[in-house]
Amino acid sequence: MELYKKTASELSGLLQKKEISSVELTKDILARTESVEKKVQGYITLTAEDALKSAAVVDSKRAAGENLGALAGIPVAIKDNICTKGTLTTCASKMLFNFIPPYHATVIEKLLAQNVILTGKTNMDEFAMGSSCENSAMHPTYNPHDLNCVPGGSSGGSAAVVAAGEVPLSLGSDTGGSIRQPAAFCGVVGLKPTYGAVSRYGLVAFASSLDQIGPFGRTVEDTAMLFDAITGHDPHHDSTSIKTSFEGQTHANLNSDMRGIKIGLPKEYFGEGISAEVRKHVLAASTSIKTSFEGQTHANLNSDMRGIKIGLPKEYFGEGISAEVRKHVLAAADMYRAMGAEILEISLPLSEYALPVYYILSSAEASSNLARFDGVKYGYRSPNFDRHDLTIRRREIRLSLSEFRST
Amino acid sequence: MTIETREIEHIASLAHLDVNGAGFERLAQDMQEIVAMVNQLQQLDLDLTADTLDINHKNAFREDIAVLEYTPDQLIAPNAPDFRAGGVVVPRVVE
Repeated sequence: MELYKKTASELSGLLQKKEISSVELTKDILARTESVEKKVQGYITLTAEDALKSAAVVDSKRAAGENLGALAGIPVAIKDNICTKGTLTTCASKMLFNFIPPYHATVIEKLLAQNVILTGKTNMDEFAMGSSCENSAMHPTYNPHDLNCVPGGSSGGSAAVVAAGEVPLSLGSDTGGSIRQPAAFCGVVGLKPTYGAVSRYGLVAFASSLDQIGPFGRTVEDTAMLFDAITGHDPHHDSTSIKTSFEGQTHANLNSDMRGIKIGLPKEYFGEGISAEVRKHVLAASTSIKTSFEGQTHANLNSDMRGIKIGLPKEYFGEGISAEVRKHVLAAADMYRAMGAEILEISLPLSEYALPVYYILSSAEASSNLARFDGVKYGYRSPNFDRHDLTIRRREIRLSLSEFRST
Repeated sequence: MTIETREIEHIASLAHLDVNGAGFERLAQDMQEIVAMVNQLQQLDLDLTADTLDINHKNAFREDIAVLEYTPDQLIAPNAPDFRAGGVVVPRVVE
């Protein structure tokens, strides 16, 4: 049985019915990893032995009749900027080449409490700054759909390992697109949660007022399951985390009626500068919208969108959008119209100012947050340390302005 | 708005960045582009924008209570480049 091809939702059912064991599943996805990882290179650190040990523990808990959560025994990969106690956490930077966190991030505590199997740490653009995974100090990651393409970034490793079948689920982080963009590039589902919905405790900070940890999966349902597992108020460790009305309920709500829900497609996002690669993945995404909902137990998702309004922001369909992207986005809109949704033209006139504002905020916060990587308390300390000359270390951190490109 | 070469050199010196040599032109070009992009905000007529801040949103405050979760030996020693007698040893900075 090729378990690696199955969704987390399917695997959850098989595990609960004891038709498969977590050890079987973990072995299967590790074998898949073994066969494709040399090409994809999505991981920085693979913790195969620990994963198998944890899987055996979960299996014995299940055999003992313990009441386990939906994700118990299911493998999840973690972006390498999320702290994992005892496991190397490098942020894909040589500054943290030897950093082993003394504590778990809140999201890791939550996953372990649900008996999730952690498979390892995934590649990223250094300190989450980049959009291609080429700015990793370790190695680039390749897009499993086409090894000549980038997987996007900065959470490119997390997106690629899910797309390649190396793991059904993964966590990434998103500051200015670092989950959403690689998810699109790799044809998987990624979610940047509402700010505050997921605790940032243990996430190495880039721009604190924008950073959020979020899930990747191959279906909306899987992604919702993982989101439910990590969301929640964390009053003692993250003062920006909040109580939300949807806490832990996202997966359950997938089943329910979506009438009355409005979905906006901002026209500004389909403007100038969209590339052939993006076009290809938008096309792949519009197909997967259809397929990921088909054949699921939640058949209602597919059939009834009456009462739902979808906005197409006119600014995103302006100058510079490729004919093919426009065609496929409008085809997707038609698909929703056929399901009963109402398609409206809307306007988001301030979108063009979002990027300049993002650059101001994220650069300022990054400069403050990254000042801690000075080699004093942890990380790489240059043997050439000179009190007058921080230049050498700065050069080693490879954080020149020219490399600091969005995300 | 353009930035003078000497301004870039000054900023680089303040930031202890070594930008001399081959990379300088590229960095200067990137800086010009970033400043030009940010400069777009000057064109924005704020009278035309709606106030979108949620005034009912309450900031999350709590008492600042110190809790001892880890000792320096647990938290800092394992990762410090040089840790002795309960402290991080740093290179001498005063003659």
